[in-house]
Amino acid sequence: MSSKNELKFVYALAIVCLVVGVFCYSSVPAKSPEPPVRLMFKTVGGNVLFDHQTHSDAYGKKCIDCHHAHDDSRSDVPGSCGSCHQSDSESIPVFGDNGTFDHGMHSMDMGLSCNDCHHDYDEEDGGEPQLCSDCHEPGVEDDFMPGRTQAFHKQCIACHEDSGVVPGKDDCASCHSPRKRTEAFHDQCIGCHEDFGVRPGRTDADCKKCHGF
Amino acid sequence: MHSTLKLTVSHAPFWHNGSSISTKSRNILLASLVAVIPGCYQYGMAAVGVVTLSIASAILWELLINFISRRPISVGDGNAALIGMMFAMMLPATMPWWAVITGTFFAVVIGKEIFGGIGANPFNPAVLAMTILMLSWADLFDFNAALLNYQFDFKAVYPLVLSKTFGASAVDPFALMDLLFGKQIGGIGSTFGIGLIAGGVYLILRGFVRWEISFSFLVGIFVSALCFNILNPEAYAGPGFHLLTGYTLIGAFFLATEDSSSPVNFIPMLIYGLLGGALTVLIRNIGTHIDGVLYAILIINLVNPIVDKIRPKALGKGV
Ligand code: HEC
Ligand code: HEC
Ligand code: HEC
Ligand code: HEC
Ligand code: HEC
Ligand code: HEC
Ligand code: HEC
Ligand code: HEC
Repeated sequence: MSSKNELKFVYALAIVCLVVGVFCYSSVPAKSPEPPVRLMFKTVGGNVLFDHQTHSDAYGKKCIDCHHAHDDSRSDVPGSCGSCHQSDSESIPVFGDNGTFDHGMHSMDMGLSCNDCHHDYDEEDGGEPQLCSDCHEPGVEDDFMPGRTQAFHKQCIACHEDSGVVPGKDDCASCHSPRKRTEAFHDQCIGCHEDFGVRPGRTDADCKKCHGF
Repeated sequence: MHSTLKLTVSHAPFWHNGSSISTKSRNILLASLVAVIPGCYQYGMAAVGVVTLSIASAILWELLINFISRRPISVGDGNAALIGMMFAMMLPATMPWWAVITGTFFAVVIGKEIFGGIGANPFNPAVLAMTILMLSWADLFDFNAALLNYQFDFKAVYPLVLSKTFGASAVDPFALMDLLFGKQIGGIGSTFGIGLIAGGVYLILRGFVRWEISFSFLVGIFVSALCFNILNPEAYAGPGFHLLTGYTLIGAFFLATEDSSSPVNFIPMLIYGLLGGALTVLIRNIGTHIDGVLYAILIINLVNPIVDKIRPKALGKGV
């Protein structure tokens, strides 16, 4: 090739490459796929690489196992955990002295009878109603018998919605505000790993297995 | 009166491969395609965009400098296009356009033209640009984070991160054969090992690349990785792993061998390559950086003028 032709060749190369480059850049979608393939959580303690797809495909997990606030009956995709679990949130208990549930107010002021809630209780029999969790155990549920959380959600929210009062279904924070972001992730990720007897778990040696990126 | 034109010539021996610079550039570009095309296949349109934009912008930067400095147009020699290609081969496919263009600016303008153009650059321009960008925008070069949205049929974690943070056993899932055939994440044109080797061997056979450098670079990596591995097999991955991951192969065949920043004498070439390989493994195994190839190459570029002093004595000259 003569040097003139060489120059022409390079000019042509530059123009073709520029056009193809601009075309490719503008045609690649900027949005990430839904549901995500992998997620990288950036933290001050080392980043965490989470294989979202493998967790839901290969390990056979349902969306709701993790996206616990997601309503499967709706067609939209689950939102981020951070929309509720923020780094400064503080979980408030529903029951107990500082809890949001006011038993006295519910049982006296509203004109509700004891069995509206203690559905198994017969006032005629005398005695005291039992704790819900005597029968509705945390984490134990089937088609017939709701677990503890489900029993409460079903009963509390159904009555509120029937009576047209708040807090309703989407108003989680009025009954209990969500725990801190880091706690939510640690509890869910590690909690499930412990349930399945897999690692990384809660030991110090395992921190790096998640936070090593 | 006649003007005296003074030609300064560097010391002998000279190396001529019997062809022009542009033929050489074209051949290296061609050889690199063997590794780049599988990369584009793996990462799709995004990778094609990075490669083409990088080549185009590298040529345009050189053209711009030619105009500004009123020097003859030099892009015809294909060296700018080659720099663009080398740079793109190291990038993740998700590199934003502005980073590609900034990178080729550093490569062509800061890495080459400032020193006086082709043949005068002390460092490999593409490597220099890469390291400047990696120091400035480290997040863009975190392959694990950059390639989150791609689905692969292999473990989608940058192998060198695994060996660095989790020790040698963490890389067990990577069979050497898979690594060789590009079943690993990484730069667009840096992971398809068999393609890089084929391209490199072609260039060596045609005389465009000195086998002494490539070979001694790989030997340097092999030997030093083996030493580490023997000393502590739990912490340090074996030599085969180091040869087939990160920028090793592109470094050995395409980067360390760049003409003006590498030696031309036999013994110096061997020292240059061995040193590069050993430094790479040192940085990978006990340094803070994930991959050491690029820093190692900059360092051997730096010592190149010194090692190249080891040369045959000129005949007839006393002492
Ligand atoms: C199963 C994986 C996993 C393990 C094991 C794990 N973490 Fe985490 N960690 C996470 C995730 C996920 C986050 C949330 C990241 C975010 O906020 O985006 C997190 C967040 C954190 C944060 C908050 C960082 C910030 O920027 O606010 C700290 C601190 C932390 N982890 C420390 C630890 C320690 C100490 C251990 C070991 C005892 C540990 N982690 C074990 C997954 C893990
Ligand atoms: C093993 C737990 C787990 C499973 C199973 C799971 N996800 Fe997720 N998903 C997560 C976590 C953790 C995030 C990160 C949320 C964040 O960044 O705050 C996430 C994020 C997402 C996001 C992005 C949310 C956003 O706006 O950032 C979508 C969409 C999503 N998941 C959909 C799904 C769907 C659909 C399924 C069922 C096929 C599913 N996920 C199953 C844990 C899971
Ligand atoms: C719509 C708001 C909302 C979203 C979205 C949400 N949470 Fe929660 N989460 C809550 C509330 C409210 C609670 C109950 C209060 C508590 O225990 O913190 C809770 C409780 C938890 C708990 C403790 C109870 C349990 O089930 O073990 C964990 C762990 C948790 N969330 C993790 C997550 C993770 C991980 C995600 C994202 C995949 C997520 N949450 C998304 C609101 C939310
Ligand atoms: C709005 C629903 C509701 C109504 C109405 C109601 N309760 Fe309750 N009650 C609860 C809930 C919820 C708990 C706490 C259960 C738990 O912590 O598991 C509870 C707990 C109790 C307990 C404590 C059980 C124990 O072993 O600690 C007693 C006793 C009780 N209720 C009696 C009554 C009586 C008597 C009435 C009628 C005057 C009544 N409740 C009306 C919802 C209700
Ligand atoms: C003595 C055991 C027992 C106690 C105590 C008990 N439950 Fe139940 N609950 C059951 C059984 C059994 C069922 C399933 C059969 C049925 O629907 O009645 C059930 C069903 C439910 C349902 C689902 C009803 C439906 O229509 O789907 C809710 C909600 C519920 N319980 C809430 C509560 C709450 C809240 C408390 C405490 C205030 C409570 N239960 C206490 C045994 C109990
Ligand atoms: C049988 C019907 C019924 C059931 C079951 C019920 N509630 Fe209520 N709740 C009410 C009514 C009625 C109000 C009154 C709203 C008002 O006065 O504004 C109320 C109000 C509240 C409020 C707001 C109180 C305030 O100070 O504004 C909270 C919090 C609450 N309920 C929590 C719960 C929880 C938690 C449960 C389940 C353990 C529950 N409720 C079960 C009927 C019910
Ligand atoms: C009407 C009140 C009410 C509302 C509204 C409500 N919850 Fe709850 N939730 C409860 C009660 C009561 C419990 C049982 C608390 C316990 O086990 O101590 C509970 C338990 C939970 C738990 C299990 C917590 C644990 O520590 O195991 C989660 C998770 C949860 N709720 C999430 C949510 C989310 C997400 C929302 C909003 C979509 C929501 N809740 C809305 C009353 C409510
Ligand atoms: C619903 C259950 C569940 C939840 C929630 C969950 N995991 Fe897992 N995880 C698993 C199972 C099952 C495995 C399989 C382990 C195996 O096969 O060895 C696993 C494996 C892992 C591994 C090791 C996989 C590998 O490549 O070797 C990591 C890392 C991990 N999970 C991180 C996380 C993080 C981070 C989160 C929270 C964002 C999380 N997991 C939440 C069930 C869960």
